[in-house]
Amino acid sequence: MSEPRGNRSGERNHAAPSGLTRVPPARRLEREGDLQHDPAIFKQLVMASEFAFGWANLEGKVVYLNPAACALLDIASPEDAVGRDLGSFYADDELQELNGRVLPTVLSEGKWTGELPLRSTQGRTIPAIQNIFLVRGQDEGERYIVNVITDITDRQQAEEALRRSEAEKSLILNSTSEVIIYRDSEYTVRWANAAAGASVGKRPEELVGRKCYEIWRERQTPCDQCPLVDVTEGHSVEDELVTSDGRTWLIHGTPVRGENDETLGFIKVMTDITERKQSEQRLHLLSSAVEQSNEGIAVADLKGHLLFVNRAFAAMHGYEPEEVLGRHLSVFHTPEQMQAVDEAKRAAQETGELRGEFWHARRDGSVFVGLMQKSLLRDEAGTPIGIISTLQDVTQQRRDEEQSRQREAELAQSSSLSMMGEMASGIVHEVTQPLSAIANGAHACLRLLSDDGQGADPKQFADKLRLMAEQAERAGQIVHRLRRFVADREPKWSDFDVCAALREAATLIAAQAREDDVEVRLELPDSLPLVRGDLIQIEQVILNLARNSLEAMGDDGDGERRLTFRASAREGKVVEVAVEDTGPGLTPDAAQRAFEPFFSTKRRGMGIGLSISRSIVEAHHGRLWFAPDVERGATFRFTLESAR
Amino acid sequence: MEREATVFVVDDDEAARVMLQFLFGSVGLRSEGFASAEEFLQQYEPDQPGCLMLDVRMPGMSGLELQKRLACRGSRLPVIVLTGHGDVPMAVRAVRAGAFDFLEKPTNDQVLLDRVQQAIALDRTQRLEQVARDGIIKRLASLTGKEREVLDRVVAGKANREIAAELGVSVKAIEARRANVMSKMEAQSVAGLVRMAIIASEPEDDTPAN
Repeated sequence: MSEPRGNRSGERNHAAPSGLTRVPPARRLEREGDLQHDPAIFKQLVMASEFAFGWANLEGKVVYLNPAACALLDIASPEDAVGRDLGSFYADDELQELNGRVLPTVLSEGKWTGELPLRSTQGRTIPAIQNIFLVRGQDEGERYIVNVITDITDRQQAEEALRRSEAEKSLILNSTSEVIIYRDSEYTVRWANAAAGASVGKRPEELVGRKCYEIWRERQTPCDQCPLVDVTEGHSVEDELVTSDGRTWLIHGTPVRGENDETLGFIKVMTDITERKQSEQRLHLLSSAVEQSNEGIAVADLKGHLLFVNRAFAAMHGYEPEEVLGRHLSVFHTPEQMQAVDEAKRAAQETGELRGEFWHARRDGSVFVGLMQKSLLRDEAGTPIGIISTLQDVTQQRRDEEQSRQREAELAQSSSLSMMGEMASGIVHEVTQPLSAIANGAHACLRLLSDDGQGADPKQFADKLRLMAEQAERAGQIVHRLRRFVADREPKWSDFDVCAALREAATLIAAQAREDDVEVRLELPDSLPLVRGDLIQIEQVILNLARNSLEAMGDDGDGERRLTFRASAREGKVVEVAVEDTGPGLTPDAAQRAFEPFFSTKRRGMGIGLSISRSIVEAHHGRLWFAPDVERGATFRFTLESAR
Repeated sequence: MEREATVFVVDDDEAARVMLQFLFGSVGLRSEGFASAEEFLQQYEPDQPGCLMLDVRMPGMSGLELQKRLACRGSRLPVIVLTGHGDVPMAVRAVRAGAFDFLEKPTNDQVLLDRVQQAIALDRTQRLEQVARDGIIKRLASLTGKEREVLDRVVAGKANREIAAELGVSVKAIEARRANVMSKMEAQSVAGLVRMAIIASEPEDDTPAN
């Protein structure tokens, strides 16, 4: 194209619109054919075109830029553009491309089309598709470079935006831990997110094209109970599925519909709920355990209003669980009982832990003893948020204990009776000896007297009668001693010499010891601090220990047979008594269990002698124990507090 | 001359012992007291007749042990055991060991004295029997071997002819030997001879083993 020729084209341009109707069609077409090359029209076309274009000479100087191109390149008017260097419209890289590749192509091949950004005079980068070609001027000699520029800024921005949103979407879909796939109605996966790939250890792309049942269930055919069957029928569905690796999934399926409401495929979202499921099961187990526990369990807020009670807790008090929710813990106590609870609470404020037995009231007003344990319930940060109480009804237990205490007391009573019975048999012999002597003496006297005193020497009579009187006194003393044991007596505390008790016990045990051929030895210090206690009870302890020793030695025929009583003062105002024998001793098991009630190595023993003896000694603030470190036999020791 | 029977009283309780002896003295019975079994064993000679009165409960050697020791020494002295209270197992053991009787203290004096007299009588009988047996055994020892052959067969109830056939000698010879046996054994009849043979064959110590 040559330089615009304003006048010629202007004229024709003027005539055309009006002439369209008036000129006959054939003529008009002929005329218009001539007009194909009307410079005026071309000029107007160039001027009005929204397409940007221009041309330059082969030196690279701009010959013309149309207004659209000027606007694009920030040039005020086409006049300003004339003579500018083509290179000034390119940034360095693009210029290099232009000179190195584009222009040589244009010169050799006549044209080049491609994307090559421009730079405006203001320095703006303009993404553009350029269509560059060679033209010849009027005289067929001069060649020009024409450039038609398509500004693709908008398109590029749109593309960029699209790309970004796509990236964003896949980023979102790939970031989520849920497995998301899109599958068609033939179970074939069309798209999968990163989690889907990861769930089977593959890249997401590797899943595409495969059947979902192959991927997750390792099956050759669709699953019998495919949760998406309903989806196929058009509803969203949620279901759980256990895959072949043992994981549990929550599956959510949603149909994807086309414009005509036809189902194109399904979006399947799978959430791995294995852990949630497990913790749900744990929680369920925990809550069943709490609910079904025989122990009462309650949770209250910090002010004591009940948030939860299990069945046992409610039932202990005669309520249904729902009846007491929201009520204060004090509903389970009478005001007097509550006072005790509050006091204990105050005492336990520091630790937040409280354990004790309290009276509880039932709905019907009856009461029971509850072993209560309270502790603070804390949140993860350790802040107290409530109180957990556990409760056991120990009424029966306490009643049983009381009964067994009574039983023990009764047994102790009967045991002391049996102790007395055993002692009595020893004492009977003691009494029989003098009585028998007296009887024999009296009979002898009678016989001598019935023979008219024949051979009866008065002196002999006197000697024998004196002996008989002595024997009567001896019997009396024994009986007196026995009475002290038999008498139903209150404990009588006094300060006494433990050596006296040992001597007395030695006397009482002497008869049996003689029968069992056991030597009784007393190894007592010259003086010992007095002890405080009940003399008779302590004598009973000594006798019990001594009798055990005699019985232990009873079956042991060989060697020494000796029972030794010792007493000594110990540190801390304590007097220690030892009862030693030369019997077979105790087996380790017997030594360990010796003090257990009803444990006995004797065939006829009740097994409570030592247990009672220990109780007696402990009531005297002393200790009774088996001393195992002796070479032979058994030694039992006990201590008593010395009197001030 | 028969020695006078003595009641040997063994009791560690002096008063009991003295009074028992006093009682025995009042009926003219001779008695001796001992404070322990050991003391008694030291002094007692088996040829001393009488009986033993023993307290079952004694320190040192027990009554049972004493009974055993006496038996070992060939003594068949009857033992009366005294106890302070009825102790059946003890009584059984004492009687098994050969005790004559078992009495509970205090004892009725008449019962006690009766039992003592019976024990002394038993001792006397036993001693007489012992003497008789000793004589029989001595006379048996005086028989010749051939006379002994005849005695055994006579006692077995065989007729002279039978014995002669068995021993391969004449009936006359048997009759002669038989007359010698009768005269040496001081037997008046065959029945007497049989009784002597039985006595001689009895074991010398008839104390049952325990």
